[in-house]
Order: sequence, then structure tokens, then C-alpha cells
Amino acid sequence: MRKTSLVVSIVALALMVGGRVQIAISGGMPGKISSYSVVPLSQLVHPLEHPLGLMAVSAGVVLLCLLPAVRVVLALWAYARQRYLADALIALLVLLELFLGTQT
Amino acid sequence: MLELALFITGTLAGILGALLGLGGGIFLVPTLTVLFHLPIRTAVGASLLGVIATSAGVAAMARKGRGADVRLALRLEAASAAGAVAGGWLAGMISARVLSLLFAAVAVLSASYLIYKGRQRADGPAPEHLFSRSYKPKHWFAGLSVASMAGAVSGLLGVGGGFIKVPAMYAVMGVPLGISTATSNFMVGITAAASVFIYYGRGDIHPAVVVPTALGVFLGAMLGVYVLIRLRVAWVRTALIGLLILLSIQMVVHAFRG
Repeated sequence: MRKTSLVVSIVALALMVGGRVQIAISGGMPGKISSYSVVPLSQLVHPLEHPLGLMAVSAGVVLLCLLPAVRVVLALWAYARQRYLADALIALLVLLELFLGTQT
Repeated sequence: MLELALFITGTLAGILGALLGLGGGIFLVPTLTVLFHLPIRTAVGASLLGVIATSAGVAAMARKGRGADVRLALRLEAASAAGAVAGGWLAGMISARVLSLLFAAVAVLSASYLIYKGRQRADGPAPEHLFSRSYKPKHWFAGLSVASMAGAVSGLLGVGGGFIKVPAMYAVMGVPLGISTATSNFMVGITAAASVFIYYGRGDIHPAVVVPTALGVFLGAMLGVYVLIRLRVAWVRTALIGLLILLSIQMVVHAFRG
């Protein structure tokens, strides 16, 4: 779990920083610091419709946001393999609640 | 220059968040609104991402016997994540002033309970250890109730809810303070992830704010874990109480000044 957290975090942060630098180089992000938002989730699958830097930042943000779910999946996998069914069910419940959070 | 300031703020929040098991959101929301004059929902969005970064940084630095109690974390989290989803929904309907005042009230309550429990433990027969493994969590009903409340507060305020979960695990359930902070950091990441997509969908995640903040928080959290294993229980508890009181005062002032 430790290694997964480290690798996913580093990839996510690299995407975010790289994207931010690309936006700065291309002269984007005018006006107030809070006037520029990430690409909506539904449009992340259409990478050509948005500037590359903004897509990279958005992908990094989404990846970082998914990390807690990845850790729960790993715990669920470990409990299921050891046949700790009650713990596996609780991990599954947490995962379902996380999924509900992304749907609202 | 502003982004450098956000990076430094994030680093400090990450260190404190990792040390105290708070995720860092409790420091980020007031700082981003009061010092950087960002709208509270922008601050909350950045803070939720910062909380996830703290959780990731702590997990990346965890050592055997000094990490989170994953089993305890998931049980409490089952209650907490449900509360977080409800809180995220409510946030869109409540004014910024009410959010600030609610934040202050919860911080004061947590600080008061920690002072009370700290006095009780100081009078106890045995010295306290940050990472003792000889414990069995007790008062599960109270712990689960507080965890679901912490989840709702998290969704409402953009904090990981750790400032409620750490006192609950430590003072109510009898979990050692070091294990409580590590477990809380594991939990706050999950709780924050349950509501961050609501802020994402509403367009409250701004690259110029979240990129330097998240990067700083992640690096700060890794540094915080390194420092934590060298500290005493009383220092961590006193720091936690002091910061909770300071933050509540700050948020009350912010609420009434608009």
C-alpha cells in the first residue's frame, strides 16, 4: 500500500505541476487566480477539446482524488485473500460510499 | 509569487496535518480565505485536495508499527463517508458565514474535550506512549457516531474531519495518540475523496490554487511523519489544543467581518 500511494501520488503531482507549467508557458490563465477551473469530468475523455496543460492538471487532480479509493481496494483485496469476510465487506461498503460521492 | 506563497502554506499545513492527524484542511481553509482572500468554496476545494495529499504523503512515509490501524480506520470510515456525502450536498445550501461559525464551534468542542481527557490521563498511573500496540478500541457505538458526524462536517467545511476523529479515537476509544493520528490521516483521505468530486463538479477546483497547495501539502506531510516519531504525547496534544483554539477564534472573526 505504501509503494502504491507513493507512485500514484508522484504521477498525479507530476501531471498537475507539468500541466500548470504548460499553461504558464502558453500564456493562459488570465484574470483572478480563482477564475480558471479544471476540465469537467465528463469532458476528460475528449482531450483535444481543451488546452493540453489544463487537461494534464485535471487528470492529475482526478488521479490524486482516486488514490484513497485505490487504497481501499487494496485493503479489500488483502482481506478477501485472507478470508476476513467481515472486514472485506466493510471495505466494500466504504468503496460503495466513495462511489456514491463521485455520482452526486 | 502568489503560487509560491500557496506552496509554502501547503507545506506548513502538510507538516501540521501529518503531525496531528488532521489532514491539513483545518489550517488550509482559514488561511486561504483570510490571508489569500479566496472565496470559501474555492478554499474548500483546494483544502479537500490538500487533505488527500496529506493522507497520501503520510501513507508513503509509514513505517511498520507506526502506521494506521487499517481495520479500525475502515470501520469508522464506513460511518464517516456516509456523513461526508450528506455534508457535501448541504454545503451548497448554507451561507459562508454559517459555515465559518460551524467550523469554529466544532474546533472549540474538540479542544475542550482534549483538555478534559489530557487532565484525566496526566493523573493516570502509567506513562503514555505515542505508538503503543497493546490496546483494544472500546466504546464502538460512541466512536461510530462521532465518525459519522465528522464525515458530515468534512463535507460541509472541506476539512478531513480529523480534528474530530483524533480526539474520538484517542479520548473516547482509548487508541494511543500516535496510532490515532496515523489512522486519522488514512481516514481523512477517504472522507475527503467522498466529497471532493462534488466540488470538482461545481467548478470549485482551480489549477492556480490547487497545484502549488497540493504539492506543498504532500511534501510537508512526508516531513511531518519524520518529525512525529520523535515527539512526546503531551507536546502533540498541547499543539493540537492550541491550534484548535486559535483557528476557532480566527473563523469567528472572519464570519463577522465577512
